[in-house]
Amino acid sequence: MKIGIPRGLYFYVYYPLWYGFFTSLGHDVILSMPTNKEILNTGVSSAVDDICISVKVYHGHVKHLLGKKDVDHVFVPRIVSEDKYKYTCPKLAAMPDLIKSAFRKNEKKLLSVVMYMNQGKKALHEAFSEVGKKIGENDDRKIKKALKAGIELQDKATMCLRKEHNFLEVVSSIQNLDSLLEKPVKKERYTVALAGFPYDVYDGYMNGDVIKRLQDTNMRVVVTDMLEPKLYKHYTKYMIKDLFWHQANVAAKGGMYYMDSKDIDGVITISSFNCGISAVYEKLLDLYSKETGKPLMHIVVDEQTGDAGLVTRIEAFLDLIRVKRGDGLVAS
Amino acid sequence: MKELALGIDVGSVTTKVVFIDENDEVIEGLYLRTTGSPIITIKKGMTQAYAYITKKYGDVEVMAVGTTGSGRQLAGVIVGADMVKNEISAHAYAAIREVPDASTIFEMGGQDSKIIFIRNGAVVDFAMNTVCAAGTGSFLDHQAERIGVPIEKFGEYALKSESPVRIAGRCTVFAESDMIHKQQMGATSEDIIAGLSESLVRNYLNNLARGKELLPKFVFQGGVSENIGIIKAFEQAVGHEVIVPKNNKIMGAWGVAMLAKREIEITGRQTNFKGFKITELKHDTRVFYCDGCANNCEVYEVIENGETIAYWGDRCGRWSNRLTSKVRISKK
Ligand code: SF4
Ligand code: SF4
Repeated sequence: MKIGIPRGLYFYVYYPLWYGFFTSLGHDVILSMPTNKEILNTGVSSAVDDICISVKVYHGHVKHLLGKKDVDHVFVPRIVSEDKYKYTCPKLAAMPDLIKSAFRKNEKKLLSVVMYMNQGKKALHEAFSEVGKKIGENDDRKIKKALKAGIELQDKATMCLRKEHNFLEVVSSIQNLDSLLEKPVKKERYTVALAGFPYDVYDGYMNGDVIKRLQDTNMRVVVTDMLEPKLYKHYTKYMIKDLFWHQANVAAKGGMYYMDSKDIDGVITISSFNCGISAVYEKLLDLYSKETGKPLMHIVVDEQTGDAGLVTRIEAFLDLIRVKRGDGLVAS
Repeated sequence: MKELALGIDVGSVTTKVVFIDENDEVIEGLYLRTTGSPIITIKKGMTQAYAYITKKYGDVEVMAVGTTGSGRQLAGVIVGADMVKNEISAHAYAAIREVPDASTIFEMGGQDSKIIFIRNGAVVDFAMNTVCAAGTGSFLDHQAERIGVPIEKFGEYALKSESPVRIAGRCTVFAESDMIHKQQMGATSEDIIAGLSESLVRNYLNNLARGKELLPKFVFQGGVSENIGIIKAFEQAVGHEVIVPKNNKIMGAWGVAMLAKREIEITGRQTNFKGFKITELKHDTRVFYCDGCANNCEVYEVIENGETIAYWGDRCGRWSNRLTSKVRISKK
């Protein structure tokens, strides 16, 4: 069977797990293409109006896959929680419903299941057994084996991230993560950290290609998803208590950790216009930036991608970083 | 022969052309409305400036050229720039030269506005508004038309006001209806104009300075800094003197002229300047949609005497990569 996976939202976190699971069961995984104008436009026109752009784009990816004749199912999981007592944004938790109501005609093709991540193997096993059943796999031994393969791949991807390979590299090397693991990471004179939800940080079409733009000017780019959570655990103290949403905690505390790191020259947050949850971690980072003096800039992504103002701001931010390190505005 | 450096700032409403001498002083600075294509305005500015300086100094040699503003890339390929710099860095550079211990720069142009925070002579933070007209010069232009008082007189009128009316300035649309209402209630033009100035400044600070520390010295530049009513409104809002530096309307062009000069001095390179003959060359621009992939990039092409000299807007480099060598050759 061919299983379509939309290139949006939690794809940028759990793709290795999903890929490992489906391929181990002998299915093909088909990804929607990276976000482009067409996907953005169909997403915007099929999603409800007053929702964040990240969710709209996701609609575009789903639609793209639904339009492919040879795709048997499109995988749209309902990820409710990623940590004990931490939940995802209500929109993410409602994703299959939103998608269903947007694409009623294709309801049958959608493959969705409730998932609790990082809360033990039992919860995962339950979820993936259900996925299996829906695609006609009832043999529990096979499900267990496939899940094991998925988890192994996810763990390997995590190791790659810890070595500062970004998630886009993980995606393109999914069949050969071992060699990615061996690949050295280039050191550069400057390092910029990106804080935000993975689907905002890694969607280059939406955010003005920040990662590429930085790398092209010889900046090393690190992302909050590369950090081992233990490293930033203690920042909960600064926030008084943890936030309700797992990914917002990663962005907030990871961002603070980077602000305290000597080898990080500046932090850029990337978020989606209309996202209330991002506003919370952005504010926390504003306050922390004031305390540490570490340069911070917010990029808020909306439907007007690639506007000249964004490029100007990124360039000015890089100038600021260079001058802060004692390098000039010229001849560098 | 007099050695000069040239700076060009191409904004969406105005184009600034500046020549500086060996001491970085501006010997000719033009502030032009960008009428029709920016290329025509650039050439017009250069022809005018050239006539003036050759009359005054005889033969001149341009040893460095810099461009800035939202049209910096276009201007850069047309004239052959040694430095193409974002407007935030260019503005800050000139401001710091004039007021070395400046801490806050207010910049208000026709279509956009920015705030730049400086500490110890270096940019530490900035914010830009490119989308909302409330807080820019065009807001004032528009209201001037409504009230029937020429914009040049606005400052004078504002100063004469005894009790400025409070105008809701969150958005141009509301401001306008509120203003009409106040007019109907019998408020004088003076009080309304003073009220508008205050609302513009309030708006600007609300949008751009949110939660940031406003420290003196304050510098105010950009086209709107000509307006004494706004200067006064700023002084009232921050409770401190606000300095309008010399060359206040052309700071970006001045800054980038100085930066280009530094660049050439440090690297010892020859300038890329194509000479004043470019004003006689024929330039065309073309916009087309690439059909190479689903991105359908909007690609810009600049054609000089029938030969393409630049492309941009292509995400993958399909077009721009073809040309790097040619751009270099056509430098002379
Ligand atoms: S967390 Fe924010 S960006 Fe993510 S789905 Fe919710 S509203 Fe959208
Ligand atoms: S320029 Fe490149 S990315 Fe853009 S549409 Fe053409 S082929 Fe696609």
